[in-house]
Amino acid sequence: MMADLSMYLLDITSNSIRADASHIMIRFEDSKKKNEISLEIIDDGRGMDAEMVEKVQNPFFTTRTTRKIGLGIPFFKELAEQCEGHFELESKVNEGTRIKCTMKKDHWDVPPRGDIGDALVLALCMNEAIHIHFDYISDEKHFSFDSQEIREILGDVSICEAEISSWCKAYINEGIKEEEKDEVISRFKSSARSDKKAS
Amino acid sequence: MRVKEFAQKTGFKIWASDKALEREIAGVFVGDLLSWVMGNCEADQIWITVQSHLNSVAVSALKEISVLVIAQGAPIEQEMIDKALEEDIALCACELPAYEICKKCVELGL
Repeated sequence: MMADLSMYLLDITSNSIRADASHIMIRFEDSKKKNEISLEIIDDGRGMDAEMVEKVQNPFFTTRTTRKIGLGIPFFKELAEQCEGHFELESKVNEGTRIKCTMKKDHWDVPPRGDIGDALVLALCMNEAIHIHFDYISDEKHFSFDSQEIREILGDVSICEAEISSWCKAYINEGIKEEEKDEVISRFKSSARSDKKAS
Repeated sequence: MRVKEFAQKTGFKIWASDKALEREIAGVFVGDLLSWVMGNCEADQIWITVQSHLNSVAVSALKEISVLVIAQGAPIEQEMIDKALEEDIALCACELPAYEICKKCVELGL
């Protein structure tokens, strides 16, 4: 397990970049109504055959030659298992890969979001030529961030310039913010109530 | 202290290859967040966790952990045992909570 969702996001997105993707679609859904949180990454990179799809889910395998074990995908899968969700991984050679982790929103082991804006900007700066489209969907809002749109505005200026990148981070984090400060406390209260009832 | 001696003195249930039993223990690390353990544990340490998963064996292999101790009776799957044997990592199972295991380690001078 990793400390927060942004770390999983960065890890999986780096896989796409290493697989020479030019377009990466990221969809982050957080729904109270469905009681579900999901993170989905779709790329148009090199893709994998069926045997490889099996292998990358095994923590004792990696595509990197420098170390024996690659853990990003196995950790992502474990996250889904531990939070009573499900894990999906589909891939086609020369077409791309789709990976999705779904969690039960009110499961106690769901990690915090972390700095999603920072993870996205870090990924963007790994290879500036890559187009990243990010969607955030909750019961109340739909927020999108598209690196191509930003680049069109910027012209020759790099998205990785300190001022631009910190603006992007703040813009993304503001866009996905939800007004639910009391959520953890109310959850605790309601579970304490049902425990009382049960006894 | 060698792994063999640790197993004898604690009485914990253990699965280990001959090679794993001869390994020297260099301290103790406790943690359940795998990425955190990856970044902070050191080679040859004992690692105490409730995170009973094949990924924990993989982290142990990567970080050259000497003994992976699964605390508080968390269920251990056969796949974990097989892989630990193959990777020469000693795998221990124990009903005690992590803190009590730590106290035992202190008593043993680890």
